[in-house]
Order: sequence, then C-alpha cells, then structure tokens
Amino acid sequence: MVINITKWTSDHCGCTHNYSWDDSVPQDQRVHTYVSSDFLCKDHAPMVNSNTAYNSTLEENQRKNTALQHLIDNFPAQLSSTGAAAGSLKDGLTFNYIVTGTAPNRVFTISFTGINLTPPQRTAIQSRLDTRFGVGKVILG
Amino acid sequence: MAKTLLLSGDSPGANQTSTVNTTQFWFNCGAAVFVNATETNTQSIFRTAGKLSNLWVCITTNSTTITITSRKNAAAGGQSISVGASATGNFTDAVNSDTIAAGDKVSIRSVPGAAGTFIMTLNSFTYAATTNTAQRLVSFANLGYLTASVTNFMLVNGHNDTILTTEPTEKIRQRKGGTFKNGAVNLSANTRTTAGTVNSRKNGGNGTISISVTASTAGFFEDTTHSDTVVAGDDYCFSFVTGSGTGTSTVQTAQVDLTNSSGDGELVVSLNGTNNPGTNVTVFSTCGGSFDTSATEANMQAVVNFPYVFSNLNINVSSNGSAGAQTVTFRKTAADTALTISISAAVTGQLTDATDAVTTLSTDSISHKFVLGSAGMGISYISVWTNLQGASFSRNFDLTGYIPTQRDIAGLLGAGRAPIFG
Repeated sequence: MVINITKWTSDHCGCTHNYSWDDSVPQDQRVHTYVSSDFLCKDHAPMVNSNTAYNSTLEENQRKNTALQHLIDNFPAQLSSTGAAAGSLKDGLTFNYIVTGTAPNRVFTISFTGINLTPPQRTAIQSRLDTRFGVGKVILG
Repeated sequence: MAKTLLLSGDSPGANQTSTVNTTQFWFNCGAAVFVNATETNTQSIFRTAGKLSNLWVCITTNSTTITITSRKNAAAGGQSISVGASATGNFTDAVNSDTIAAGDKVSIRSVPGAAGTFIMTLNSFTYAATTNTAQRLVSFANLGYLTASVTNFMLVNGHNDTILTTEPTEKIRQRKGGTFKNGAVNLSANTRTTAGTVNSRKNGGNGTISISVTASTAGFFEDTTHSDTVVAGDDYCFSFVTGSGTGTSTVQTAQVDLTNSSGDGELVVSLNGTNNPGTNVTVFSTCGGSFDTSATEANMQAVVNFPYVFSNLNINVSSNGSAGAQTVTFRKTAADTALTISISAAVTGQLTDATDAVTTLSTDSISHKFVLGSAGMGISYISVWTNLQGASFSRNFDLTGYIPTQRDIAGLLGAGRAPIFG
C-alpha cells in the first residue's frame, strides 16, 4: 500500500489543493482524502477552513464539468462531436461559464459559442439543468 | 553540466512512415516525429553551446535497411545508426557525439537501402550544455497562418496540430524555476504582405521575447537578446500575431531554450487543444513530442540513455465528464512508478505529483499510462521533470541480473560523490 499525494489546481477558480489516495485500492473504489491547500482564491479563502474550501472547490468544479457532459449526452444532435451521447463537445463549439455569488452557494452561468439555440432548445436545456442540479445552480445564459 | 533528454515522439501513422528509396529528414528535439523531404523544415537551431550524444531512434515497422545520421548545418554529423534488414526496436549510437556551437542547426536524416519502408515513432538526443543546463524545446506546427490581425497561440514543445486563437490549452505550467531564452520560429514559406510578431507569453501576458517576422520572408527568425525568468507555477507559451495584410505564413516550428543552474530539464508531450484519448480503456503515450496514445506501450517507450531522476509529473485536464476517478502514471520499463496522479470524477485543472521522484538507469525506458473512465478526459499536455544531480541508488536497490554501465556510475557520482553499496 502506497499513499500518494496529488496536487490539484482548479481551472475555474485557481485554488490549489492536495489530496491523498491509496494506490492499492482499485480505481473504481478509490477515495481522495483532503490533505492541505497551497492557495485559496478570493472566493474560497473566507470559508471556515481550507478543507471546507477544498470541498466547495471540488463541488463547483464537478458541477461545471458534469453540466457540460450532461448537456452533450442529452442534446447530442446540437452539442455532441459524435451526434450521440458520451461524445465530446462538437468541433467549432466553445463552452463558456462564469461563476457568481458566495461560496458554498455559487451559481454557474453557462453558454455556448458557435451555435444558435432556439427558444424551445434553451427551455429544454434549462429544464434539464434544473432537474439535474436544482433550480438556480446552473443557468443557461 | 547536467544533461537533458531531447525526446520527440508520436504514434505510428502515415506521417511517421518513410518513402521508398528516398532520403528524408525527421523533426526532433521535442517536436512531433514527422518525416519531411526538406531538411531545413526539420532543423532545430541551437544558441546554447554544448554536445549532443546518444542519437536514439525507435523503429516499429521495417522492410528495408536504414542508415540514420545526425545532421549539423545540413552536413553529416558525427552520430550514425545502421538498422539491419527488416530490424525493428530501439537503436542508439552510444559512442559518437556532435559538438554544438551557437547557431548550429540540427536534424536527423534517414537513408533507406533496398526498396521498402519503415516507421519511426520516437527519436532523441542527450544534450549537455557547456554552461548550466539547457533544454531545447521545439513544437511542430507546419501550419499556414493567413487570417489578418489575429493573435494565434502556440505550444513551446510538442505538436501544434491546429491554428488556435485561444490560449488556455496552449499554456504549459512550469513546475520549476528557470529562464526561457533564444526564442525562434522557422518559416518554410511566407507570402504575408505585412510583418507578423511572435511573442513569448507568461501567465497570460506578453513576455519579453519578441520576434518580428518580416513580410514575404521565410527562414529562422530569432530573439537571442531577451529572456523570461519563470518560477514554479508560471504558465508559458507563444503567440503569433498576424499583420493586417494578406497571404500566408507557414510556420514549421517554434523553439526556445529553458535554462537553469539546478540541473533541471522538462519533458513535455502535447497536442494543442483538447484531446480525449478514449473511454474505459488503458492506453499509453510517449513522454515527449506529440500527444497521441496507443494500446501498445512498446510503440511509446523511450530509452533514457542516462540515469535521470524524474519528478513533478503534471497534467492539464481541460474537460472531464467521467463518473469515476482516472489515473495517469509515469512508467519505467513497462512498470508503474510512484509518480502517479489520480483525477477525481468530473474534475478539471492542473494536477501534479510533486511528492515523488523516480530514479532510472540508462537502459530504462519511459512512457505515460492512462487508465480512463466512462467519458475519458480532455488533455492538452503532460510534463515531467528530469534532473541528474542527486540521483542515487537506494541501499536496497536490486542489481540482480544487471551490471550498471560506466555511464550509469559516472552519472550517479556527480561532483564530490562516492557510490554506496549495501
């Protein structure tokens, strides 16, 4: 059993955290355990402690990335590189996001460049996001 | 001074396949391994004096004989490899070397024998700068920039596969300090009616390296005056800003030195943009050159030819919809090492193993392994750092069946050191 430490810098806020994991545990059962933080961004620094900041950073980052894949899977004709679920974002499209509010209750506003979504498509996408993440967590801008 | 590994790689394909009965040249020193008929397109220009040695190639398919030589200033270099009829595997000139002076242009040439073709997936040199440590970084492009008044971004090492006007996936996060200097671009053709500008980019802003590419002029363009000091955590890449006129600038490579006095070198394997290697699969990549993957690790393994210590494995994950963790591991001779990164489900960003270090022998081979999840992940680059100073054998190191070479011992001793045998 070897305990490894991975240093992660989030791409949505710049926080840098360290977590440990056991390489003898199969990947699909792996657990990441918070160890320490090298840097907290201005939005996460005010949180009660760095472990809480890590949890918030992690939740936000996963929410942003899961939202993108969720939409690709459920709107493959518009968004998927393969035209089917489990593809990547279609070539020529760009996924944009901003995050606002106060951690741990920050809100993602997302948009796509390179495609003009119709009003019914936008309504359907927002409905999907609200069902998946809860109302007001990820907003289609 | 400490040696660095100038490693180029790619997965086997049409661009790595030779032409029957044709002398050809190969991109090198960190660029994607692409074959080219024109030597000047493939040249890496050196501004830091030193010595190149250990010319090494990996041949994965072969139906001919081959003579592979180093080239200096479009003439025969001192290093030469002879590949026997239909032989495949790793081939090294471990004896000869090329002394490099400032301004020398280096390439690799292949001359086939009887009719037949071969595939080269990797090549490398060992480079010892005369003063301090220098890693020549080269990114392959072969791209025609023709849109006026646009800022395009380029990697400093690996493979610029497409023209990109966004920066995030082009930036390479530095894990150690150093100085970038001797920036260069090599244009094989240029019909642009106005000048273009190549700038170094540090942390999203222009660095001090700046190169003006004269209108309608091709060749090497360099800035040998300015340099950028970086510290761990800094991001670095290049930009190419086209002027307002018309025409196309065809860039073959962008190049720069990374220098330091700590013995550190940086290996980068990259492909610009976001690249997903696959889903629910285990694949391998080379540690330098173009980021592409193969299920066959042997196609991606590079022999190090010198006892380096590897550390600071780093990956930039730009997209990730996987439901579970994924793993990137630095491999030594087809075995996992302690240098490994676990990427949480649906997490993106820069991830590093800044804790572990792996010692190699000169005969070891290196590669990266990816254990991918349900949606894979988008990757722009993976980097790992080399150092020779301080490399040491553990007292418990198992030498069964292996006799260290004179190079291993010489490399491990360093200045003022003595071997310790348990």
